[in-house]
Amino acid sequence: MVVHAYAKKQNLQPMPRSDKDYTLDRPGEGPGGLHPQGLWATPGTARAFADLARVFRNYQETHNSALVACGQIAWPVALLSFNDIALPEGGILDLNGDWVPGHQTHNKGEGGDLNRFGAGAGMSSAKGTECDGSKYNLQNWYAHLLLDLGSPPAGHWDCTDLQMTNSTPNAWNSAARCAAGEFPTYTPSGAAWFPHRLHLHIED
Amino acid sequence: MGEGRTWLFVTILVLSSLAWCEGRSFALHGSQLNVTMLRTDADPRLLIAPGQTFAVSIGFSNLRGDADAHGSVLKVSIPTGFTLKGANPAAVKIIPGRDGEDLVWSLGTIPAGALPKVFDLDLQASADLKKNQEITIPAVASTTDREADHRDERSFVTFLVGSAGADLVIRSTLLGAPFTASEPTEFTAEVTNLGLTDAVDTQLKLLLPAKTQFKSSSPSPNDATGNSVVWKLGTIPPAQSRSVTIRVTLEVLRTTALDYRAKLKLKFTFDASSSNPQINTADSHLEITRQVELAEQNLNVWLNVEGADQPGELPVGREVTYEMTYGNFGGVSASQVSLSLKLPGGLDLVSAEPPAARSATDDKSGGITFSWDVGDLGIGQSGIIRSRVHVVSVPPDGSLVGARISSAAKDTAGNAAFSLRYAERK
Repeated sequence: MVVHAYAKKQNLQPMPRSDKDYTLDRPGEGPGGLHPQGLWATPGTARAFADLARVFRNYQETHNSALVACGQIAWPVALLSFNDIALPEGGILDLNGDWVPGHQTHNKGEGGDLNRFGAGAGMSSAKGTECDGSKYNLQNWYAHLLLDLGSPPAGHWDCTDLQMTNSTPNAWNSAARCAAGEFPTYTPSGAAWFPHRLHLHIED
Repeated sequence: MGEGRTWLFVTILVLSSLAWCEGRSFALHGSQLNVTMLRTDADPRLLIAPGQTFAVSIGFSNLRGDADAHGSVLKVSIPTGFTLKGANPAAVKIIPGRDGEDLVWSLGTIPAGALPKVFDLDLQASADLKKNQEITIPAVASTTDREADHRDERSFVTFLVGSAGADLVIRSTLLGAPFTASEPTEFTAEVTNLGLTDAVDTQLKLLLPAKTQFKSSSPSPNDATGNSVVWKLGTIPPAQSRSVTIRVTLEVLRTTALDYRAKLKLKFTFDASSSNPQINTADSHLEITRQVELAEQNLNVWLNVEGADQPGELPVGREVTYEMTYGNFGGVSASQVSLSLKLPGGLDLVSAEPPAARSATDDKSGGITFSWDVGDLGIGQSGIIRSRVHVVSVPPDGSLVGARISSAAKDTAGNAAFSLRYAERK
């Protein structure tokens, strides 16, 4: 039998609900939800998330200034959208109410999920035109910019905590591949909605 | 405007914006090409069925570089087993090889700080792929420069070949929903298709236990007969879900004796099905048993002290933090909830987070009671109030600090709670 023990995490704080740079979009948040409060983080992670959201927005606005200057139409500014972070005192943020631990940093408030700009069921074909005439799918461009900004030293994207723990170097879910930069978007247990979100570790 | 000048203009703006990244400066020197990859069709999992079409997006940037990257090239290798159906922008060169083909884009100079360029590929898996086969698409960026950081120059996505077919999974919030006799219980049932093929004519069937009654749902059911309720959810594509919000009442239990209600266990059964075959039916059946809860709030508060070297001691002349953790763990919301912290003489409040709304001094004891109004406290909601306290003095018989939580509901069980913390002088 495997026993997971998670100590109470002190000093977590809720992500401020009102912010011009990000939104909090977590299904189940509020009375009646499986975990009514899942948007708590350590002060360092909360600050890093807010900084990331601000930088993400500022880069888009800077890019839009360049687009307008070269005669193109500015692209819609996408805000970061946070999903699961941690419970008020940390501990198991079990996705399905089954007491199975989620990602390690969910349990400590040191990382969280970012919604992927409507990917999956909300996939959009909206495009934006660059100054050189290239047309980009905006959802894809937002995702690549976010992946870039969330990479070290800002944080690192989830791998091992999403069952990317196979010790066989060439296995599709191996930690070695994870460390090499492969981006995991599938887990064999079938967490289908994970790929719609991106989990970013900040402090572990 | 030429492409090179456009990138330069963006670069100047971006570099001026790097000051935003205080404390997270990109301290490396030189160019730093970065490659990111994502599956970007409607199913974002790295799981593929033989014959399936899919899309992969590659991002290519010099966002963290502080020097231009000259002679930049992006190479993406499409392995045997996958066929390129289209690329945007089109590759400059396609080089056939023994194990597939390489797509090459010559990108010239990528300015320092350049935001991602995006390369979207439409692909198709071969019909003869074997289950559990792994197929990797690598992407490599190169430059003629000596780069500062080579860590992100390459990326790859590995697809796992699965079986074609639907795979329905049911999840429900019923387990965590308030379940009392006085109010309708509202919960959701979500049917997700984890398979690689559409689930056609999907149907959700809920069997209600005796002594409960279906009230309503969104969307409305297609059939509700006796204790059976059925929803036709149509086609669910791979990795997508359909959700139904359901309300049931336990009204018939109102006349039942209180202790009997509390012990009564009711089993709800959910089944999902489709007209086409499922590759796994293990999770398309769900049973949840609930025990009827008494409809009352259950407020509680815990008082803890931090900053002392030893538990149970207060260090004179130093600051400690009293932490009140509170919550409503009952089956109904609590309104007009207030908390109070009573500090005896000798303990001075320095600050509190959040600040106290008011205070009252007890002339007789010299103690001060600080109060907070937290408003409504929903089911399962909790919070923490931290108070920094300066220990001026501690009487010989110790110091007793009390915390109290209460709501507007008078004379009902669970509407108030206390917590005390005793400490001796150090």
